[in-house]
Amino acid sequence: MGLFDRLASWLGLKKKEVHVLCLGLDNSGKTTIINKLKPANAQTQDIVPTIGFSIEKFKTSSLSFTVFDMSGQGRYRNLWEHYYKEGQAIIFVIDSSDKLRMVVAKEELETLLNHADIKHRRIPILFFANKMDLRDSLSSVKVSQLLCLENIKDKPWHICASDGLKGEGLQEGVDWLQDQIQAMKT
Amino acid sequence: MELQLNRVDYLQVGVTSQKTMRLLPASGRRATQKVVVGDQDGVVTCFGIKKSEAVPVFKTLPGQKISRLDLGGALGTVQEKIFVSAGSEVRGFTKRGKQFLSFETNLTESIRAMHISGSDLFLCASYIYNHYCDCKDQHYYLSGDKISDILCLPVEKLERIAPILACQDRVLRILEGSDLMYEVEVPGPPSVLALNGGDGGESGEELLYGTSDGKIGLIQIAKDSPVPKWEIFNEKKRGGVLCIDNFDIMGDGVKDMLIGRDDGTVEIYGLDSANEPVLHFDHALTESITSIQGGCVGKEGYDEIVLSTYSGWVTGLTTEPVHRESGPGEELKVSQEMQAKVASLRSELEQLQFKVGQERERYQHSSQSTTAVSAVPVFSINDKFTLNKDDASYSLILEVQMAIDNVLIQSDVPVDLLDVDKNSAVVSFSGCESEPNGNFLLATYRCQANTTRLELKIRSIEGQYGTLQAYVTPRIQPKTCQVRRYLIKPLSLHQRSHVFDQNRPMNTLSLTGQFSFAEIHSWMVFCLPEVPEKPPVGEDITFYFRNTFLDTQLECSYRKGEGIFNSDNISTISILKDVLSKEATKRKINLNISYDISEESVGHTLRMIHPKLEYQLLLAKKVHLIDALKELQVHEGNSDFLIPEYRSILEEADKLQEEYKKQPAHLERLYGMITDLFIDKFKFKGTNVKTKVPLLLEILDNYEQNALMTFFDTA
Repeated sequence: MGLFDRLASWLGLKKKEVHVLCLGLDNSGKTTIINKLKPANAQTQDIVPTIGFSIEKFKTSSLSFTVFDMSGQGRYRNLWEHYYKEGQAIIFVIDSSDKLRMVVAKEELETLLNHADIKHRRIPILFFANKMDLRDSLSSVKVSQLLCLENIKDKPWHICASDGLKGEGLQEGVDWLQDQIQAMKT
Repeated sequence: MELQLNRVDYLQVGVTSQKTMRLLPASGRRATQKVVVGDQDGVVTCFGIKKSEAVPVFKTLPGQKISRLDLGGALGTVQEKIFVSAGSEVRGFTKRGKQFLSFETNLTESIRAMHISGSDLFLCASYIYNHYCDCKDQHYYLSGDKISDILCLPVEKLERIAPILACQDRVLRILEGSDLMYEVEVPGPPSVLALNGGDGGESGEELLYGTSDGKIGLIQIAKDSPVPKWEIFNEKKRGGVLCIDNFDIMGDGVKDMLIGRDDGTVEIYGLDSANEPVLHFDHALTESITSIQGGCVGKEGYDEIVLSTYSGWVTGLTTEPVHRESGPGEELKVSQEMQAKVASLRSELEQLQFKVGQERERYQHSSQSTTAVSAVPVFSINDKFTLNKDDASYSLILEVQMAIDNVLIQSDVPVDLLDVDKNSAVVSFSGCESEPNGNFLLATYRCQANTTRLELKIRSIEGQYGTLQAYVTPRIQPKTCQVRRYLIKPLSLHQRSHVFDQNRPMNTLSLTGQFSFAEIHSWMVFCLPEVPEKPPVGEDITFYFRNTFLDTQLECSYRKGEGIFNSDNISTISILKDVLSKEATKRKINLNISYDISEESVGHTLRMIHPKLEYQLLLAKKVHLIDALKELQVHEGNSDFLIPEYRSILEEADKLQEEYKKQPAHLERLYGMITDLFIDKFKFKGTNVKTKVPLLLEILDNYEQNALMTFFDTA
């Protein structure tokens, strides 16, 4: 960091940058959520299944997030681990109305947590129990039970019910993430 | 699909009557709707929900008790004008709370039901129906029995005005102008009417009704005859229907039926492929539900059912999930909203406690004064005393806005108190000697905390009449008590019906004498339940009744100076004769009584009793064997060696025992009825056979139908 950068961040002109990984099964709503977090004029209208991954940026009050929006399709899932090293936080999105694939999500979460690059780092994980507007969706408490989140002892985590289309619940989640990252830095 | 609804309490107003809460249609960009509710203090409150806090829009000043609240407006526009009926007056408010109408109807009684359609106003008092157009009197009708609800089929679809009255005598009356078109009989006293789908279906003629004994039905009211579609019988013995609404809460594109009952049950019915209703969801609250509506109040995008309860809680059952966030922690985190609520309640409570403490001290001080009078706090009791058709018992339901502390039941006639499963109250019977004070029953129900509603079951005996009193004490300071009095009529087990089988053998009792039509009608009111207190119009009248215990029937037709009573049961006639002559003597009226007894009718009644008696005897016999059979089963390890008859008893053991426990006095009741029949039969012949009763009881103990018949014939 150069002298100018340091000065700018001290003055609050330039925000600290954080790399975040956005993971989850296909069709859980990752791209929709990231899109909704961007400023209104930068949002896209159409969202199509992600191929490979894409890089998105958005800002909160004190941090600037760079998100690796990974594709959740089965054949692209092995790409995830290549980016684990850069990730300073993880957003894990779950389709809370998809009861059938909840076990698949659980399995992916377990492999993620047991990966060498993740296992011993204390990085915050934010879960979005997405699609809460659907009638047959599970509550966030139920989702956390099904995914056995209480077994995560060495990382701070948080689960939020969210509706990616309307943007409900997203702000609460990102606020929590921001607090966690700032608490880690200092 | 399973539906999951979460309960959210919004606001509490005063005690509410039936159908006094509505949702205003959503206006402007905001998708959430506002709630209007009228209470018995006369206050109309309108509020919306912002960030799960109730934000009032307007609130009127207290006045007379609000009996109905409806929305209206010019036809074809958004229906958002609020109309309330209080006393004999109808008031109209805009959605902002500005009063634009105050219409003093010249009804002598207060309004009980109201319907608004464009500029047409339909009002009902107890027996009177009135139709106003632009506040000008148009039509008038006097109904034969009390009116509980009124509705008019949609004018836009039908292009005629067809008001429908729901009357207490199990009839829907369809009017045209001031004249009765026809009557439709429904299976119980109708308590509420609603248009199917909110607009009367495709034809605009489909009408939903709910009865006070818990049945629901759909009828198409065509121009000159009704077409019944379906009925839902009340198998689970739930309470009476107080409100019906149509709303698509399941989200499948078809409107569902929302039902609110007086025992606090909320039900959602959908339609299956054959257009028959199926239950999708039910939820139990602890008090009567007075109004129900579907809509969106709490949060945009989440549909919900909004209901108001008797004590004035406006509550939502919403599709919105409750727990939105959680994290690692030993227990579920209490959300911030909840914490704020707890904190605000706590501070409010502290302030109130302080205030009440001060006031109490002042009250104690001023109560020492010799000239001051201590006023009693008034509270309202919502009570219902109805005859159940299925088990020939009365159910008494008491509901108070506050929690009940205890209820004392006193009766001067012999009655049995039966167990009610829903009751959590502790009952204690006090010993009473009937001789010195005339009490046959003294029972105290002590209620558990927060019980606002108490249900009791009472079984009476035909012929024994008097009063039953309930002393209700709620948990308020200073403790006060209100007494309610209920009449147990001489022919208490008879229920009004509209059919009569002429082919049965009949006993006839005819009366002639110097009495007016009103007088004999008042005797009828005294003798029989479900007779309107007001003497009917016309010169003569005929009522039909059915005995709920034995299925025997009674026909009463009378006019000025003459009355004829037909029944296939001699006991019924005998009771009528005794009571009527006692009443006439009281008023010093000379009655000429003559009767015509049919010999066959005794055999007929015995044949009616026979299956019930045989069933009870068999039940008693089976229950007797259960313990012994169970012991055998334990010893042998299985019951394969038993004969099939015993095996079936073992299989149904629990059911049989439960039934036996439920019917303790059933056999004694039947014995009593047969004995009465025996005595009455010979009384009409002029002989007293009381000495032969032990012999009859002996025959009953070794019951055989033929032996009993011959005993009746010969003795």
